[in-house]
Amino acid sequence: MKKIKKYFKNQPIRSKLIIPILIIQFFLVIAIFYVIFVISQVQSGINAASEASKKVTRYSTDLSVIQKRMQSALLLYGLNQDETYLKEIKRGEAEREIIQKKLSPIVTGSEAEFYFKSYSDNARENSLFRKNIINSIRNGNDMEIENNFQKWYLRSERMVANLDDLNNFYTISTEKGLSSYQELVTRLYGLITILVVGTIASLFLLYNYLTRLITNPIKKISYATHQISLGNYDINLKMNYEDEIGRLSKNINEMAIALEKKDTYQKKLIEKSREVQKRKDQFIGIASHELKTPLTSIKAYIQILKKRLDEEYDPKKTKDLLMRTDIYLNKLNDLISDLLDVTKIQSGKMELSRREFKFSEAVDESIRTVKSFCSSHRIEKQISTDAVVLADKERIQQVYINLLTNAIKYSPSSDKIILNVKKKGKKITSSIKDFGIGIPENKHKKIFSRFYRVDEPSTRFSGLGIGLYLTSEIIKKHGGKIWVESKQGKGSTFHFTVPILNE
Amino acid sequence: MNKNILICEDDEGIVEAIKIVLEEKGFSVYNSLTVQDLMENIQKLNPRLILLDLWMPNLDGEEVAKKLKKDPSTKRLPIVIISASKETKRIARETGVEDYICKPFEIEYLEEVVEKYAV
Repeated sequence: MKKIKKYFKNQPIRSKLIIPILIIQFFLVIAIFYVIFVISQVQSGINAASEASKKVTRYSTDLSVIQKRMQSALLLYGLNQDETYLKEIKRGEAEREIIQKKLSPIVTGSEAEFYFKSYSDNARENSLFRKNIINSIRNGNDMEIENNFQKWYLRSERMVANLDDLNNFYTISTEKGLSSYQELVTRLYGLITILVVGTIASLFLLYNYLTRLITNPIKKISYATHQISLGNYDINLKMNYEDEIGRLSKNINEMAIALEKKDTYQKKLIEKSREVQKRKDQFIGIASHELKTPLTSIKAYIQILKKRLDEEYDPKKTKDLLMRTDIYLNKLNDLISDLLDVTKIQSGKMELSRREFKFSEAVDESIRTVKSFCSSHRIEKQISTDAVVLADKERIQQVYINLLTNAIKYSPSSDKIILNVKKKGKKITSSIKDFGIGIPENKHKKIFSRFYRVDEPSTRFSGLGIGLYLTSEIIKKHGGKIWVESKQGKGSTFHFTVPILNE
Repeated sequence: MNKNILICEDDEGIVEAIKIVLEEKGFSVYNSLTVQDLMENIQKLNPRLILLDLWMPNLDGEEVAKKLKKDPSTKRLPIVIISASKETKRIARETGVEDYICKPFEIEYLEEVVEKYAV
């Protein structure tokens, strides 16, 4: 039972629908066959009746012929008194009786039976009169003979009349009735044929209809959804009707579009995060190298010192080495601070400690600091304001030191840097211009992002590459703006604004 | 036999440290910051050893090492690469240089390596 159930469940929809219909049609077919059977019975009935009718006609005709023959015989006997004619009449009666016996069972219907009964009665009397005739001939009574002759003849005529009536009845009314029944039966056969053809045709039509309406659209939908699962979103299901399947098709089209959007978006996100990861990895590589560089010299100096102290003590040289070590320790410290700043910014923890100070002072101090470890360039000051601002002095200095250091680093073949500071409304506007290698247009926004270096690692300018990121975060935190004006090969000018906030 | 050693290093502190260590051993140390300088110095000074930093601006240490080792006129010149990178060992193997030193290094190790190859 389970197997049957399972088998049935796994059939295609079309089959599932058609199987019960087939069962219904099966019963229909049985009914049709029964009707055909009944009709054929009726047909045989009609055929039998027709046969019977023909027989009656034939027999009654025969009887009529016999009777007429007997009549002639009698007449002839009346003419020449030949006894053979009497014998013929007797023979005629015997034949008559045989046919009567055959006719009797097949005469049906009250009118026909009446005619036959009249005939039978007349025939009996007719026989009687024949006997009377023979008797009266024996008696020799001419008048009796004449009388009986007449009586016999009369009866005989009546018998013929009966037979005619019977004949007519069967020929006209029975035949008519039979033919109309025959027509009915023929029509019924026609109807049954139409029913059978119709049943088979309807099954085909239903099959096709189901295929068109359900199976094919579902197959298309099935294919389309499979395509979607493979990542091919370019499906376009046609909606032929506004029915459930049509709506499903429409919804699937919309779903494909939405999935494609999501997919694209996801891919973009993954790309972006991959890029960030790549830059992070690069950064770590660079950071590691940058941190190890001062460490290398520090370690070397310490070891040299140790060696020296073991061998001979030269205070000047020793002092020199120790000073250098100290400088590199500072450098290392700065690098580590920068890294810490980056992580602070990332976790949202960089805070400004604002106080009031003269802006130009901070700028001057920054310039001095930069000059102390890099004297290769001339820094031209254009400070035209002595405003006092409310800001984080150290961070502002960090910004200037970063921008000035960059300017120097990225203009190895020039020796001038122009620094401009002025007050514009409620802000201080500042710019640092160098005549170095410049920055291509498409990178102007990117350079302020985390871990970004304009150059590929192979050209390898030293430094962590987070200076500008920190600088831009500091300016943003102060509520200011920072941007760059630059063309590749033509130097760069970095502009930024800082709100004064002190008025 | 001269005692010239060429180095390619962009960090002043490290250059200074190496100079102090090697000059004590009687070597003369010369620094080159570009490929051009390096080639000139090779011609001019006929060094016994080249100490090559891999990570420098204007100079791709790996490329330079490969070139020098391919060129028959410089093939015999001992090269020791110095680097802070993890790839140092692999690059040493791939370029066919004599040896490598990882940063930060022990100065004794530096002395050993130099004495070994600067023959």
